[in-house]
Amino acid sequence: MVISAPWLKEFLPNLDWGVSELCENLTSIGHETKIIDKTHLEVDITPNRGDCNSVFGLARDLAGIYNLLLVQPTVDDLPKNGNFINLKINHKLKDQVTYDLLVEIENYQTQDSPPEIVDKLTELGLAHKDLIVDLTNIIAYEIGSPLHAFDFQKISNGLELDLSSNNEEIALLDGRSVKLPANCLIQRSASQVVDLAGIMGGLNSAVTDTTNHAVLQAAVFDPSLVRSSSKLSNVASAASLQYQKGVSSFTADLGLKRFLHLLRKYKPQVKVNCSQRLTQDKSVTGITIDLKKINTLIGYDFRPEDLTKLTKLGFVCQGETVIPPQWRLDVSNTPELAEEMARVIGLNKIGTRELKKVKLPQDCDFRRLQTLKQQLKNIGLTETSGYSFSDMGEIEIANPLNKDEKFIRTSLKDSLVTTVSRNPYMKKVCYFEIGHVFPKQEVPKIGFIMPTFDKSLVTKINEVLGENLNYEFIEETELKKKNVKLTQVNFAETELGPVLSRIRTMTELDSTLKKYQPISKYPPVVRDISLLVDNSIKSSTIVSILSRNKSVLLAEQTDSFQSDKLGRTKTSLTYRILLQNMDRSLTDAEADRVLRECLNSLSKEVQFTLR
Amino acid sequence: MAQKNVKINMNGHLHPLTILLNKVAQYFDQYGFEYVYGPEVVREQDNFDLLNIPKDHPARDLQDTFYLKDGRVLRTHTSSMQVPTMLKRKPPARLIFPGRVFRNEATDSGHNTNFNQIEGLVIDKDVSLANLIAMLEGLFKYLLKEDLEFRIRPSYFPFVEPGIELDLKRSEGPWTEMLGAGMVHPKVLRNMNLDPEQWQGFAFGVGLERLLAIVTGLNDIRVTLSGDYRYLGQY
Repeated sequence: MVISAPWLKEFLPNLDWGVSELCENLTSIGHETKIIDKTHLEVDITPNRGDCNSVFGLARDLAGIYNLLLVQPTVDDLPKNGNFINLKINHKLKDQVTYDLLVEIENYQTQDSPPEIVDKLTELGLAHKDLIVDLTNIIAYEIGSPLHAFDFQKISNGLELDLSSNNEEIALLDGRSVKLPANCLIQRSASQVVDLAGIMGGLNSAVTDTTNHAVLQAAVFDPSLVRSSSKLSNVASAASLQYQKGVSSFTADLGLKRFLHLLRKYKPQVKVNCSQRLTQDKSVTGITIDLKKINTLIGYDFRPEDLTKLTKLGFVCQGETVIPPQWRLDVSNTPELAEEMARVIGLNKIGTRELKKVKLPQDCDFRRLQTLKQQLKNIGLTETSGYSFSDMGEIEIANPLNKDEKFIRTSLKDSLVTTVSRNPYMKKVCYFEIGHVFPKQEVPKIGFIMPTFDKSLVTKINEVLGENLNYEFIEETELKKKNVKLTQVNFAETELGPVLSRIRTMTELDSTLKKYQPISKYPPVVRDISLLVDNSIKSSTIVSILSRNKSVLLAEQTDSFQSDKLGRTKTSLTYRILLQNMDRSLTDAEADRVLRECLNSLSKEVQFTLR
Repeated sequence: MAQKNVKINMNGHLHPLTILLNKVAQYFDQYGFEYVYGPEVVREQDNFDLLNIPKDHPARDLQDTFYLKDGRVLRTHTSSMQVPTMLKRKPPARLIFPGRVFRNEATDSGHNTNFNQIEGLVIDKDVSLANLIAMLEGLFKYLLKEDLEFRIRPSYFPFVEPGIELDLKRSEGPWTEMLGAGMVHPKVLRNMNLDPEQWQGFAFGVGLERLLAIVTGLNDIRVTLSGDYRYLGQY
């Protein structure tokens, strides 16, 4: 909800906070706020605080917590109940409609709203139409009570609040014609649907510039009923969103009274009558004070006098009971009362109490899982992780993101191939992944992929797993689909459960995390070099020296070769060097220069011949 | 122009999320937590109804759900583990539920459709909000080992009452929202076959990728599922 600070200050005249302080103070009391500009804030009202979903509601909450002077909106009393229109409510809706009152407005002539109203509507991004319609929009925003105006002539036969039958139609105020499914909340007049109740009115009952006899309705509908109705009809509005956060009877009443005041202010000659009340207003009940439970729940020593801090929020303390104000639908039991007390004290003042320390034996599935991963890492494998979606599978998603992600994966193969495809320059890295897969029955699995088959690694993996895995070549079509240019990629997977049960000895687990080094958006440039060196030279030394250069992402030994022709004291070592730059791909000239720098540095420490 | 050094190596590598989970577990081990894994495909009632989020409740709009054609859902939070787990054991309990969750929302540098959470659940006779706040602040102090400021503010989740959110501030930085938590709602306790007059509990859920971003400075969480060796090879 967008809040204008000056409008808020109409109800909080002594407020001297700027937007930053207002933003901070709203967030601290449970209304997450962002600054839009010097006079506007975006406030997120949670679904349980419908009472704050309006300018006045928010002002009231601020006044209660921060002890500010609150100015009540000026209102007129409602006229006595009468019977100017025939009203019916389907008895099935009895518990879901907790307020329904109509006001008849006679001697009306449509007129443009005065500038102060038009300005406020413009600020809200709303067009101004006619005084009655404009005031309903102002009240909804200012008081939090959605109101709807009808032309009396068009509903003179009466209003019936009901659930729709399948295929009833309505042409809505926004121009859409909607065919309704069953069970949408509607109002009919003479068997025609005239209103998608709580959401949007129909054109056939709307106030127009010839209206001189209008009807205003304030109602409270159950949030779930409005949400379901909105989803079924596929229509939403500011009003339906407001209902979904919960509107109290108190607020509906206040909205109606405020409307009357403003209407009479700008059109003193109107004559108003009230309808009968068909609903039983649900009034807020008192809560028996259980201070012991509240203190145990919060972990704070509230004393009886702390309850009086709630008075500024409208709570009434009567002996052993606390009665919440009529606009608070979210405080009806002890935990909710405890939450409000903690909010009033300030959550940052609750303090902290450490739980007792306890030691548990370390033999559990979680520990075995982390040990398994550690052991695989220790033999040189790289753990990867991919998405659970797939373009094929047994279990289909009803609302997928796109057609390539309609299923949940039945195997880890796809995800592992994706990882290989992501790293086209790394031919020797072997990856493993542990994750859930979804053939008919969900099961956690562990999978392995080897772009280059490594027999000794296979043996080591089998030792760790306690089982001999069967590797298969991945179909070339699958590799081509993911742009993998290698042809003999090996894959194996098996169920995780049995593997875990065979993990007996726990390993020390890595827990140090290095700072993230941002990776370049640009692909690395690859250079392969072969060096003839003395047998005594350690390859890791060469890797280390080559890697020192800023532009070298990785230096990997890819081959090692000895022959009599080269000499028995010499070895030929081949390295793949990946060069990268954060800002762009290196040109050939730049790559060559970097390579010369590397070889230059190397020559200072190692004797070699470039082949 | 200054170039940043990215260095990766050819040793074996654990996924950084695995390393993070090891570190997180070191913290919770001090308090005797057990770690329980569970299904990613769950019944709608385990993900919502049993957590006090009935059908058509507006709170269902707080999370965007992937529905399966057979009526089940991909869990939107590891909270789906709370009730089924407690129905199989007697309190007191100190539990951590790690695992993958799914949200049907737009992805960006801070959000992905597949991500990981850890859920914490403690049920006991007199565990309180003050215990919860201590546990959460302690976790961040353990992971970050630097001067931190915390801000606890009221929030709303249907399965807790009171509900809170915790924000973190590192020296000179902005306030960053880290996680949601609260005291287990009496309705949820009753769904666990526990009497709310006798038992209390707290619960919290935190995105593991979000924690990883805070601890390592990762600025795009989608990288964690990319399989890019230039990332995996750093660890």
